[in-house]
Amino acid sequence: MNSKPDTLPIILLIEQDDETRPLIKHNLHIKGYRAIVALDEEDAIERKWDECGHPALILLNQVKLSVDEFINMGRRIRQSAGFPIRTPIVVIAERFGADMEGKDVLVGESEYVIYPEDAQQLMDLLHRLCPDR
Amino acid sequence: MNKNYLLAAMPREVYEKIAPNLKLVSLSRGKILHHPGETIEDLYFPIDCAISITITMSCGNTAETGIIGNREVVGVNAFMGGSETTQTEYIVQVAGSAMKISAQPLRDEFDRNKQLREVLLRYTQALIAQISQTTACNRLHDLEKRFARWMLEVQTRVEKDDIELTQEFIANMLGVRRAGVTQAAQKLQESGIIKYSRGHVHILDRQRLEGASCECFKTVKDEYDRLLGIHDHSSA
Repeated sequence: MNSKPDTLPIILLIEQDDETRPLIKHNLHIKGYRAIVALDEEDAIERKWDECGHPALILLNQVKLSVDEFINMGRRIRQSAGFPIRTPIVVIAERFGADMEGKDVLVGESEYVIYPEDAQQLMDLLHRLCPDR
Repeated sequence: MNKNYLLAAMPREVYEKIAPNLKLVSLSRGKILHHPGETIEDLYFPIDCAISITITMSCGNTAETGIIGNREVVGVNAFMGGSETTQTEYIVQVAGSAMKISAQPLRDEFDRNKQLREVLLRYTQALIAQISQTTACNRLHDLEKRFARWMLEVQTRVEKDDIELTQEFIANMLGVRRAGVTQAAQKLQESGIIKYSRGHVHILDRQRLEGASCECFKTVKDEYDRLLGIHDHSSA
């Protein structure tokens, strides 16, 4: 991965779990993304986005709240921070049955819920939604 | 040949006394061998399966407190009293075979045979060492290292490089979120240490997996080696 950091597509990662945060940030970097990490909705909105550039995608990891609440959180961040209306939102589901494993579900015009069976599935979806690396 | 090393560590005359009561059984993945509060009726000496000792909290969250495989026996409490139980649950995490024995004949032999007592009490000491180390490990070491350690603990017990394990199961055992396990597995996969896909873990490089693990795997293994040694007197 040789691109300069400021030319990499930005992914805004909202990850509340202290153990998962460094791992997912590392894995995104390895795959050619620049991850800007926010701890919650407020933290994400308050970032100085004009200085660092708008994210190509908003990635939220479901913790405690429902998937719908996380989708709505992503929409509020997108609107309040002034990101383009078509900026994709991806929510990683936490608790789900075996029947959902491996599925990516489109739940709006550009909002997705992913039910990962492994991390590669997430990377494949990110690659589809942010192809211009 | 696969065997249970604890049975193999027993002096031959001790093993020959309990051997008639041992029965080879198959244990399927997810089978619960003991529910919290139940009296322990049977003990299991795993041969090529792995069994987790777990505790489920009142909120429903579960975490593993110990792992049992071919150097151990499930049901250590049974020879410590007349109708012993425990607050823990024993669940089969990797399917395989084990030698099953009723608690009573083993307890009878434990009471009258000093050599058997010595082996089982040394084993109990090793198990306490494992559980103590895991307590500190869960508190002090990061997820990536704990995940690598856990894979080593499982692989050592089942003696296979290909292991069927879902992320959800691993997350439950480590007491962490599923997403954390997914990302930890991805990081090890990117490094060429394991391959993880659809509930299948393949360990590609055991040496580097040990390098990615915390110190706890080696500490516990050394303690087991010191306490139990390997003296193969049986065909178990």
